[in-house]
Amino acid sequence: MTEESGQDLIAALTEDLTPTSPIPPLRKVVAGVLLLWLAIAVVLLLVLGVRPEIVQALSTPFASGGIFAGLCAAGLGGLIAALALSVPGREATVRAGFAIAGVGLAYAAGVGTFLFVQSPAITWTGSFGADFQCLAVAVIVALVPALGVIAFSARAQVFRPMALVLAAAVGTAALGAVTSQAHCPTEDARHLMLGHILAPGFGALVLSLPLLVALRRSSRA
Amino acid sequence: MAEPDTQEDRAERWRSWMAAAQAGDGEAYSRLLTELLPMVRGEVRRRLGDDEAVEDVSQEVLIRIHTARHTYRAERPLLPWVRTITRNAVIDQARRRTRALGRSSSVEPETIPVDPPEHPGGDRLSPALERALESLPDAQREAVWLLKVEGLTVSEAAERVGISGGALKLRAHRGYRGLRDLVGREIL
Repeated sequence: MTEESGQDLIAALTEDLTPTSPIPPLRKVVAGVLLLWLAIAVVLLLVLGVRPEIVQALSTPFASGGIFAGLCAAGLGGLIAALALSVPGREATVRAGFAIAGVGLAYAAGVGTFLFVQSPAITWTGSFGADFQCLAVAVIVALVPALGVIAFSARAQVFRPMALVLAAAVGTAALGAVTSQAHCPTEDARHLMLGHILAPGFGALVLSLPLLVALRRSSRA
Repeated sequence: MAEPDTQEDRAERWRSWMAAAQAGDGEAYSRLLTELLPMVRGEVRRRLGDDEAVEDVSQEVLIRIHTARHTYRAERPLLPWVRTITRNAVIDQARRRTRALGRSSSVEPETIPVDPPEHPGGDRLSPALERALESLPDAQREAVWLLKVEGLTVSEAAERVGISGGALKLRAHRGYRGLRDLVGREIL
């Protein structure tokens, strides 16, 4: 290719240029997806009920409250990273999102491990039904916000689709686990670990592929 | 004597040109792309080394800038936005090169009929142009055919092929260049 053909290309691109509306600011999109999650969480909590001692439980930084805070950070960070991955030039925001999510997950896992070590007796032989129920709540709550992220990303410019869907799945499943944490009063260390703290990982496992397919399809549309 | 152009002046100028381009100002957009191209070329050359694909990738960056122009927000600097697009185009080029090295030769299905092409008006293309058209890669031939022979608009042709308008323009542009190299400028 010659430099002359570069000028030809510029002429082709600028010919019949149509106006385009810029995407909304990232912070507004993040706020929008968070509101979407909040609306679904409120409806679900109205149906399923809020744990009776929620204020007490959430004021314990090294127990339920710590897990709640860690999952909130993981959710927010994952969302920020996923949405920023769709906008060129926002690498610093992507890194910040991943850092917030990483610290949140690490804190929740740390608190979970601490509770584990403190527990006098952990039984692995009991039913896993309750654990699965909380994981299912987390994934169900995650679905609509995750699709919200995909809808925005498909309109924007995706460079790393795998990283984007992973961040979206982990982030929204973490927000889903926050909802479980506000509903489920269990303080059993095993359940907190399997049903709540591992929810972002479970979300990544279950949601990543469908989100990737949705992203590819809607990007082509 | 004119004041030297500082980085701030340039950043502000590019920002305002891009904002104008988003509003449909083709002249501002043309100026912006013309000023960006040498910078993009330098960035691509620096990342790819002395590679023959530099010009190709640089022009692909322009196409990507075009298709992603709605993702730019005028309150933010333009340069990091352009650099991300450039870096990703270079990464994609490196991936394509790696894939090409490992791929065995394969024949892609024909997407263009091999019958002698005719213009919509019924005039037959010259034999030289026919031969040149047939020698183009399928994707480029298809783009040229749809735009120049079938007379579709860019959006109609893009919809037919199932790609974005920007990508179709790039294919057609490469096709025109190929045809020009093969049969001379006077035919187009």
